[in-house]
Amino acid sequence: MKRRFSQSPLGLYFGYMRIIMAGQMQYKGWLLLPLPSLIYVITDPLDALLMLDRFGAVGEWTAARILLIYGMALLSFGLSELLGRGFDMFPHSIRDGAFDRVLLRPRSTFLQSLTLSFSITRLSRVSGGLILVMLTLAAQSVRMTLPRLLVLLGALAGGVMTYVGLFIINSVISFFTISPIELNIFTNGSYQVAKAPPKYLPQGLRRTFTFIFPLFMFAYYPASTICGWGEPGWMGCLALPVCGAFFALTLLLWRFGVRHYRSTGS
Amino acid sequence: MKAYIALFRQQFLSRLQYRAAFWSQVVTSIFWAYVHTAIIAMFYRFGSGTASLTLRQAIAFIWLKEIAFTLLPGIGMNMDVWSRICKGEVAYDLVRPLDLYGHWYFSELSARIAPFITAFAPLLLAALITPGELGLRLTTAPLSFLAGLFTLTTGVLFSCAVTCLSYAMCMDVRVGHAPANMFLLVVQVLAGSILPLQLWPDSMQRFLAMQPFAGLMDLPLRFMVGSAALSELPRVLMTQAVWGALIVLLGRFWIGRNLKRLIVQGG
Repeated sequence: MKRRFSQSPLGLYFGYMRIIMAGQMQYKGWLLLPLPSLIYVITDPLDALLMLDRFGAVGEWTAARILLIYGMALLSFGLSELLGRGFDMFPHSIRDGAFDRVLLRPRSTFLQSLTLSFSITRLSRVSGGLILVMLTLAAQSVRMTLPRLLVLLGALAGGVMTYVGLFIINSVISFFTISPIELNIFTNGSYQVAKAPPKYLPQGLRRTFTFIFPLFMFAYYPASTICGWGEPGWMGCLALPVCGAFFALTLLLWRFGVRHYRSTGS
Repeated sequence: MKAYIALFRQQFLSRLQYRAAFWSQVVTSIFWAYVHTAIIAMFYRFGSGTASLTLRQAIAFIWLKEIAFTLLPGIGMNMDVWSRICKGEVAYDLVRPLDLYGHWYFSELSARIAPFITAFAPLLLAALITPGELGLRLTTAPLSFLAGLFTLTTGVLFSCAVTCLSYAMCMDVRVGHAPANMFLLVVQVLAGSILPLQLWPDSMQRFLAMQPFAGLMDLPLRFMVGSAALSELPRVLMTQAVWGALIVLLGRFWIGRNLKRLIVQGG
């Protein structure tokens, strides 16, 4: 690797990624690596599938609709795990002192933490989500026009920002608690909420997942706009601005956290 | 024996040390169980099928499952042993004047019991004060509930044997840690971790009740919510005992064989 990285943030990001990828590809069986985590693709939606099998559709909510919302949340989560994996692992780097090293380098702490690690195994959740979205859209015979595609892409981008934002919040908390905590209320757990259409959920949950953690903004409303389920169409286009605002907020939190970092000294 | 008690103490203290982590875990569990009950209630209310569990039983199951969750193999993994195997530090354990399997088994047992005891009260309280039909409301006969509690306890002994089997897999270079993880995940699912087994398709019920891992959590919880007759008790205990013994033997044998091939590379 003689080529130097471009010093722009994006160049740096891909440069770090390339190094980690190259490292992982040293293991000859790297293509097989995502296979074991494929099992999560099967077990994640399993309980929704089993319940649908037993109870059938919930009113006008067919399996295809529920699984589309779920698939969009799953796909966003998978992509954010793939791209922001570093923050997923970040709490450990506080405990073992790896963050001290990050601080020594004259580059953005945010970017370095984002690229602490990168795992090709995360591709399996992405592919599972992608397949689910495509199948469920086909099952509802939705024609993919350009505006619809744009809404879908906007929703996914919003979803990725939201989840990466959550990883960041988790990391900021670990600045103070030292021990990695499992804040998977909103990460691993959150896309489980997407199994229920919002209007059937208790009000408290519905509000939490619309206004505090905007899961329905990037999964339910865009899906409604794309397939025409009767929610106002413009709601589906809000994913990007709302989730972007959420992400910006977590960046502020990150700066606050870094300023209050105290090394564990190990 | 003193060494094993020390293992217990160590687990408890480390649970109590990171208080923020503990509470965030408790809140996560409560929230997650609440979401799950809301989804289940939605299916019961607006769906068209029937189930052998009543809504109240299903919801009680979800709450109890959340409380008993840490008793399952591989939940809140006892990373100590796992990372020692992956880093090649098994040699340190071999130097100790303890039987390796016994050491791992007891450290696993304490890793199961410590989080259960510390999180038990807040989770139960949350389940009881959740208002309306989403809360924990038990109408089970006391005797049946006790049977559930008892089989859950014996299930923990079985659970630790399963984890030790996964350690054996992890040690074996031909298997490795990814398949061992997958094995644990499948065990959890078959123990009823994602959905009460009685809500699975009717055609699978026979298989689900027969497979060994139902005894880890699902069968005991059936007694507790009152969806299994008390006459089932001997059969459940038998399955736990027979499968537990088999898996202990298999685990001991496998770890023993791994040790024969073990090469300790200085450093």
